Amino acid sequence: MITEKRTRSGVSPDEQGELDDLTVARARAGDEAARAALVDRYQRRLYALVARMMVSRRELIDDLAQESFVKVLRALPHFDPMGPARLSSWILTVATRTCLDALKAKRPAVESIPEALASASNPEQETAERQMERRVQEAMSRLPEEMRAVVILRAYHDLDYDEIAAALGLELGTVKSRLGRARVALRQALGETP
Amino acid sequence: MSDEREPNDRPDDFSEEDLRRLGSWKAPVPPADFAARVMSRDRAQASSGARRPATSQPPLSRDERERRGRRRAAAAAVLGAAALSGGGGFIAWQAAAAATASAAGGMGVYLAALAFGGILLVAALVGGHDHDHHAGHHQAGAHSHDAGHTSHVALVLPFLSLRFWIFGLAFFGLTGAVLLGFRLTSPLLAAALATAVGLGFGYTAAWLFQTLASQTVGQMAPDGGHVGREGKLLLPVARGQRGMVRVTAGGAVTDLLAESDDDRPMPAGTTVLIVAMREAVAIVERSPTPSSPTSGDQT
Repeated sequence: MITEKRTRSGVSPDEQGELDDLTVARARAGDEAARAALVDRYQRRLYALVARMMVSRRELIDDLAQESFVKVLRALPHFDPMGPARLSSWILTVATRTCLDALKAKRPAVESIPEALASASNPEQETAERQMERRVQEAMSRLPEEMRAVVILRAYHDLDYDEIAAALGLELGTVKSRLGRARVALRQALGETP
Repeated sequence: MSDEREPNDRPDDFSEEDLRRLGSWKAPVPPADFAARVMSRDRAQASSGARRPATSQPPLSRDERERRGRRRAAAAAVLGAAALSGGGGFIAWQAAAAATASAAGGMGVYLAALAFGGILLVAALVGGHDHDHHAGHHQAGAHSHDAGHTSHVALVLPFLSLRFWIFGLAFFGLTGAVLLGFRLTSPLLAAALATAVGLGFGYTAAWLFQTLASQTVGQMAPDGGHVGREGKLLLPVARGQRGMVRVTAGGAVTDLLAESDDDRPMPAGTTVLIVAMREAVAIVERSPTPSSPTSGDQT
């Protein structure tokens, strides 16, 4: 999947790994420094997920990302480090559900990509990659929200099928079928690549 | 997208080419102060939650609410009947006394009722203590939970209220004592008027308090869920100068009156943190730094 490596994103592998068990335990016990460390460790992944989920509702990104983290911190004592879910998967689950709730609560009549996010500030420097980025954003924004969530969790956050099923409360077969349909839709939308 | 990606061993998964295209979408990175603002919001909401009284009672099921509602209505009906028959009996007693020209103890009854009801009434008014808390609370709850109850149930509920008895006895005693003490009417008419006034005042007072209590049920939570959220000032705020803040929460945009205890004025457009709610007014503080989603590297 699209992994987050220092060579491409400037983020060190250490930042992308799971928080160590001791810090997680301290955070679960309410230690403020450990909770801050947790936020610091996972903020990029959570923010990226929220930003992609809310591609057509950019004005909500910051608030929902914060809200997701606050929910994570509140629910942290209930997270079972010995359970099947990784902490990162669990955090992304909380964020995904927060986004889906927000999207269902207030659905815009017509979704559109905000210009500031969709295009480069300097058109002269707009490259083929920029054009592809815009097309991907538009294609993703047209996907149904639940399908978009499956794609984002799989393609950008490397969650396994089982983890996606658990995160979204879906059957494994549903995850596969949604991925399959999303793949077809995205290929149709992005097929004419330069 | 990454060249280091593991080989795709799932036929239904994205291909390398799919991932290359999807990978062109660079995810926005959080603002530099994002983590600080999360922690600040968490602290604000936590402190707000600590001040909020905990609800120790689990919500009742619909069946249980209906059962309790029926029991309350039955008890209220019995008490109402007792009040009416008590008043009627007293009037009949006074009528019988007048017919036989015997000395009935009407004044004693009035004074006892006035003393009992009056003392409780004064204590409630001066002390501010809600003598009717138990009954009134349940009645308010009944309005909230059992909206489908028929109106006749609501009509008898004031009889269940302690306020009905306090106000009723006080005004019954006062009216009878005045009428009889100053010999303004006959004992029979005094008894009838005192009973009517007592029943009327008691019922009206209980109904009034019950109605007011039911109207408070269902209002927004004390902080409206805004504490800990960030917003943008639409109107400037300074100490002693009320402004307005716009909050976006869960897809809903809300404009709130805003005040601040900060000595520094905050102009319109300032990003602020709501640290508390005073009734419907948001108390805001300057957010560490203004936020703005930025586009950055792929994550």
